[in-house]
Amino acid sequence: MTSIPFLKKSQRRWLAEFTACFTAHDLEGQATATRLGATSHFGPLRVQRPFFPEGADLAHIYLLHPPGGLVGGDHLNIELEVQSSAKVLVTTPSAGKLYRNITDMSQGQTVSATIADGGVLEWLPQENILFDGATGELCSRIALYGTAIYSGWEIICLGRPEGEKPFRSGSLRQRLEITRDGSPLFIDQINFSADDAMLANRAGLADQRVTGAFVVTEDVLGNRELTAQIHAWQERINAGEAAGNPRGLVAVTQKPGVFVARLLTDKAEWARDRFQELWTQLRPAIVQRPACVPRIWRT
Amino acid sequence: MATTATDMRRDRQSLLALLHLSSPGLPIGAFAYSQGLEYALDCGWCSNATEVQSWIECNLKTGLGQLDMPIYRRMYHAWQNRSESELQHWNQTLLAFRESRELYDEDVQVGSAFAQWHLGQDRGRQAELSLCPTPTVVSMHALASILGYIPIEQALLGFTWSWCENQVASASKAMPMGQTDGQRILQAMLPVIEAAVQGSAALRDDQIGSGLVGMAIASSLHECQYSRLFRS
Repeated sequence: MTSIPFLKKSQRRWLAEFTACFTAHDLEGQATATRLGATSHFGPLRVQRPFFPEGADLAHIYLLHPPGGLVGGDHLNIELEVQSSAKVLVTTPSAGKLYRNITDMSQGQTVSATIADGGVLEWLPQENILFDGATGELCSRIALYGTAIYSGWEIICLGRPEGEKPFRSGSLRQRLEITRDGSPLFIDQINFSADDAMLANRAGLADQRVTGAFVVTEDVLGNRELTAQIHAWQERINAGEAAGNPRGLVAVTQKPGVFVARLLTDKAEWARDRFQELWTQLRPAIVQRPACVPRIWRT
Repeated sequence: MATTATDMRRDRQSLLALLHLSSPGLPIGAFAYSQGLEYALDCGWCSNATEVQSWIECNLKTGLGQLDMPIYRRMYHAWQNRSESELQHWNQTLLAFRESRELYDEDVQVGSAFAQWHLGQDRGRQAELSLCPTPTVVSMHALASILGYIPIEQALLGFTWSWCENQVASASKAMPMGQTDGQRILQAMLPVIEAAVQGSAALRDDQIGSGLVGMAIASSLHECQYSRLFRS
């Protein structure tokens, strides 16, 4: 079927664009090295040179957007190509911000990633904050081929942190679309405006201002021991909620070929911490190595 | 233009086909699932008829109205054109949207029972069924509507009515909620059903998607719920 035009061309003005290609090279013996190949960018969006804190085969990439926020009409376009057997972890140093939109043009970010057979993309950005009056459009399109793996989270935060400036007007459209060999594998789309009754409804956002989804395109809960561990983690967190210690809710589920964890909370930091805990537990089953926390998260 | 006797006969037949399809006795096993509602009742998110109604209304408007209904329209159209590629694309797209293992399994299991129902009606329908492997409930309902000459708007009203009736029945069993409350909720949902069906006609492909985080969480947690009346 035709690909979906998420933004009308006339409304689109790229503030910045970044494209990068990651390649894998055989080293002596059985090792491989992932390298940052061709890149191109314009506008204030770039990467530092890759870090290799856990060996040459898996690159850590920090995606920098120095202005840090988007106003009406601003769009970021990020295109990543992970070639066969290359392994990449991408994160961002700070939260993405979508400011009040005083124009009639949309604002947002599009991430397109193509991951070839044997390739891995870990997409672990900081949260996106939707300021009061913002009209955000966030779209991620992930095309997997063969045995490629995507493991990524997206956290969205309505209004300024700690409710200083609640989200009273504006809208959000956020879409994640994953295909494998051209066929739809997982799609999630949230679509609302600030006055939508869904925001307060228990079936919707239940009056919480932070939500997120962590998606791994593997049968990670195929392993009984790990399943028991993850379910115990989920129960522990949600029991705190039931005991009147309302921090947030988490829920995991395993569809064929896709693991999904969702959360609802009032604090972005809580969401990040829970997803990081989950990532720490799952990573050995995804990329056969322990979690290696990107240095930038500690600063 | 005068309505001909043939048109009137066609109307009567399509109404009967719609009633047949909308009967809770249709042997496809939809009654065995609550779609997150049992968890919402169990954990106290819905503790009375008003809260049940608000849960159902939100799922109807945002869940069915922005996901199942627009895809139903596309699959109805695809059956009309016997377009194998469109049928498979939209069927696969709907399965990709299913928020949890439980909701995915429900769609595949009830969809497969629905396919058996089609074969029980007429072995010759194997030709249609082979166009759509791993059929979803939406795909099989749309096929039945095409074969019963049910117009699209009426087909969607029937599809959504059955879903509503099933949700109310779930609440009646699990809460439990009395018959009067259940009937009142169904009455209140009539204009909501009508508006959601109409609204779904205008959605573009890139507007499809429910985004019901609370329902997705309820359905995922129902998979681990200690004691359940409804299947997971």
